[in-house]
Amino acid sequence: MSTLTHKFLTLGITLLLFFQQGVAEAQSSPKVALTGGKILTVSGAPVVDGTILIENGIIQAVGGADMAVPYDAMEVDCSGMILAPGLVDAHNPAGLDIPNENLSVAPFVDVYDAIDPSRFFFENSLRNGISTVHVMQGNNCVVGGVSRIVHPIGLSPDEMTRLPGIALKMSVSPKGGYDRLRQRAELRGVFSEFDRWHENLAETRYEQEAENSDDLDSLPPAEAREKGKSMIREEDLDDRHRHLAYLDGGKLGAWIHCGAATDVAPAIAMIADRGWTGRAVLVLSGDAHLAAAEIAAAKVPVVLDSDLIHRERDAITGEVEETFIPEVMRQNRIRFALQAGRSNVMPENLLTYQAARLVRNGMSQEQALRTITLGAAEICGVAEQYGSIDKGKVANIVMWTGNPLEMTSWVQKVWIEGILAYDREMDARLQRLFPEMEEEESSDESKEMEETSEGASGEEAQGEEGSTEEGAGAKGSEETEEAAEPLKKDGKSEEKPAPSPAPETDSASKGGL
Amino acid sequence: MNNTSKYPLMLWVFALVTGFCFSPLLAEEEAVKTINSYVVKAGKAHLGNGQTVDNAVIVVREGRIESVTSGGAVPEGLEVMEVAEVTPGLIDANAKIDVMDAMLYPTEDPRLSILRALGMEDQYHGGDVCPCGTVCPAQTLHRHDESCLFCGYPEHDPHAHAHDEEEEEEELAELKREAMAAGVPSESGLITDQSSEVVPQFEIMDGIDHGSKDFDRLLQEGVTTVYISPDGSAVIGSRGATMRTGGPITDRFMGTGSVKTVVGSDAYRYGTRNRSPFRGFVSIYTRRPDSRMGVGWVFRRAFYDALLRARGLEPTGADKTSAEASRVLQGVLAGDVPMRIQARTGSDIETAFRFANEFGISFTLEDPVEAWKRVDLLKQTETPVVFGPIFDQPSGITAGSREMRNRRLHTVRDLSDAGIPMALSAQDLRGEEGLARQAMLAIRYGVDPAEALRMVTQYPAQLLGIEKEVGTLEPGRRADLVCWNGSPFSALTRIEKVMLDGVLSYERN
Repeated sequence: MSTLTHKFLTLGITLLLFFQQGVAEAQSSPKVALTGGKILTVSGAPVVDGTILIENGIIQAVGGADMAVPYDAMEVDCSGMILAPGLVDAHNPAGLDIPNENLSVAPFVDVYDAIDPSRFFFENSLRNGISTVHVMQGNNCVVGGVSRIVHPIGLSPDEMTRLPGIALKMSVSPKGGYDRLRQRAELRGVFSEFDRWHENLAETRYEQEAENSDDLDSLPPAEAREKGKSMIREEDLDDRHRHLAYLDGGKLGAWIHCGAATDVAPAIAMIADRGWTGRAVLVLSGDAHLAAAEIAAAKVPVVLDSDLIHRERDAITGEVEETFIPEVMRQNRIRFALQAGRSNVMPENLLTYQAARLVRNGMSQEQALRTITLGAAEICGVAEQYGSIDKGKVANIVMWTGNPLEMTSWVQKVWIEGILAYDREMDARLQRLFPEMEEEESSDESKEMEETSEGASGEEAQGEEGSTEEGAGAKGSEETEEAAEPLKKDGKSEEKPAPSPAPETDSASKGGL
Repeated sequence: MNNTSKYPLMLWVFALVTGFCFSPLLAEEEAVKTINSYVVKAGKAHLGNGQTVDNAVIVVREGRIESVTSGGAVPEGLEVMEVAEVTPGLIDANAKIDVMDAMLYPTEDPRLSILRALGMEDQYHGGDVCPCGTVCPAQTLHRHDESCLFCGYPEHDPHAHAHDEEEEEEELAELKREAMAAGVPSESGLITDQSSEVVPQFEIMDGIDHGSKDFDRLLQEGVTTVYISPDGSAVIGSRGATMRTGGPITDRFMGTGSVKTVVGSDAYRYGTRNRSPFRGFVSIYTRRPDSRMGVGWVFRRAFYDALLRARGLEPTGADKTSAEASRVLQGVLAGDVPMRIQARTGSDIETAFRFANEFGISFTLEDPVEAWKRVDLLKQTETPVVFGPIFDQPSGITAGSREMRNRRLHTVRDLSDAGIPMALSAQDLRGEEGLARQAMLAIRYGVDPAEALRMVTQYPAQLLGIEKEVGTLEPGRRADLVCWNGSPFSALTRIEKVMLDGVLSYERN
């Protein structure tokens, strides 16, 4: 290799590195300022023409137009747009390759192993303004795995995970193939076995400590168990019991699925018995909302099914009664969070549409937006990091083209930890399904079209119910005449040339007939 | 839920009682306090023809709109109702609604029509029980020297089908499961007659439960008029019906509509009776077609038979169309009977136009999911379109046929921009995805809000030929009003009141 080539190559690489560095710096600039937009902080009053200063993925300051933008911050003009905190999906198994572990009792598993970053769910979440997802195993379990908080962007579960070890999933309602007796017996069995194991471990630990230490006397088993509890070390926990120990020790939340009203009381009793109060959440489905009074008395927050409406058919009268569940929760002053629907039906998987449904049923827009942001973060126990636009919170911010709760609004951009993670203009899949129109030309055209359509539709209308003669305006009458001919003369209408204007493809295929 | 018939009755009783007690005092007021005459004052009235009126004063008299003015004077003696915004009653031009037992007890005994088609009418006896002792689905008159057309009796072992109620129930449940698997919705869906592929002489009207709760539900959602179209399980299905969703049950029927035809996979994929011979024993329930080609042939053959009969020639063959069907199809060919073609995929839409050209028929295109592919064709021929639901995944019918994979969100905008007369439909969706939400989605996907409103009011009314009655807020029209607490079709607003023929039929409590 000649020295010249070598020199050029080196130069090339150096340049490349230089540019790359430049691009990388621009993308993950430690300082970003979002200016000019209306900021819905959720925690406080909205700021018109506000500025959000982000540094290293954390919101450093939120202020009005008078706030100074540091010279080294990358400024993004958000004027005319609305900035809101990234939405928080409080409970969703859709990011897992399979929502449930087959084993009914599997406290040793973690959703980490099942998170599939390539799921459309994550892509859709981002597109719909969800920046924080509490990925949790499904409801079909006795004792399920441990959940975690992820950002819907990244190529591996590690890249996506922000807060591991949030809560353990359990179900009081029977899993598939179980009846309630078996479900409850197994659930009780898990914890009585755990308690026995834990006591034995405590006793063993005390004895071990007593052997090695002169200060400790050997004690009768009951006392040894009591004193040994504090001597249990992290390495003493085995895989099967570790998460249960965390659960009892306060490191994990207890999320309990109640599929029916009858399951609420046992769940609440369990929360009280095992001391999970304060970190327990009920995942409601079916008619569990009927036990709202009990839930309210126990002051346990809940997560609602994405359907939000419960329909019940009266067995005798056949009347179907619909209950809007969030309204029941509101009346009973129960804190609740929502989850995005798992089907691809649009109104269901948009958290904002679900919030709009809350508004339709009487909630204020501020409260509804809070429910899908800060409210959900509080229930997940991550309100310190997520849910509002405040100093010190993670800079997960969504730029909306209008009121987030209106269906005419679109997510324009999403920043996750201050990095641009989604841009509607670069969303190839959305562009394919819904390409934007060229603004000016299209509006003029459509107006012209409207005028013509009025005349046409008036004539068409009678074609539908009345006679075919008006079917396609003036041409229609020609058509029918020609169509009527074969009735009189011969039945070989297919040999007639196509009377109405047909495009090339049509006449081509006709030739084949 | 308000009961529409009880409400006026109670008021009359009240009026009578008060009338007797205070007749000298209240005589005047009593005279004007009829339930379907009043004034609606709305912050904004959307007339349904693309215009809006601010501070509208809508005078309703005897169930009809007398006048719509901006800030006009309120005639004396009429009660005033104040609402935020008001639109005409919505119209769904392709509603799917409960049809009572259409599958098990269809309009005409399907056995008779099958036998008639086969030229074996004399075998019909209307009985239920096969001589083998089981309930025979074919239920034809059994001859001693011939085996049963369906179960093969006496060749098959009757004891294998011992009359066991529990087992029969299970079989019925299995049938229902199969039907579900085939995409047949269990409740709100609609089963058209499957006794033959060509049944234009049937009318869906005969199967409609006029007291169905579905009507109440539609009314609550602001839909005051529906066109009930049969589903796509027969190639040339029955004729639809235009119905009111409320009011006296006897007044609900507004007229018989188009003959529903299908180009596409519904007619062979959807339904429980389409089985190719190799999938089971050959019987009269082994029906063709089994492919798009077959559907096309049945379509053509039906019209050829009609043309033949028009010339006084009798068609031949076991699968010839019945004479009654031919008479209706002759009406279609002559332009007296309107026709709808359901064609979802791009190629099916092209086929629909090819068939229509072949026979010189104009038609309305129903449910063209892939209309975005042939906007040019639709525009050129000015074919009216009934489109929707925009998100049809919950619709068992469409989903079951796998004809919705290439939908596009911009279809509705493209059709609207091309000036194609279009009505939006929610089909069997209710509530959150009902007709009002279809309009909401249309707006989200680029349709002008005023146009979106017309797609659920004026355009369907024109399409159904009832624009002189409903669809707009104009003097002389029926007083079908939907009152909203804000901008109609916004995700944040809801329906507060619905008036049908001027009668307050739904009020949010």
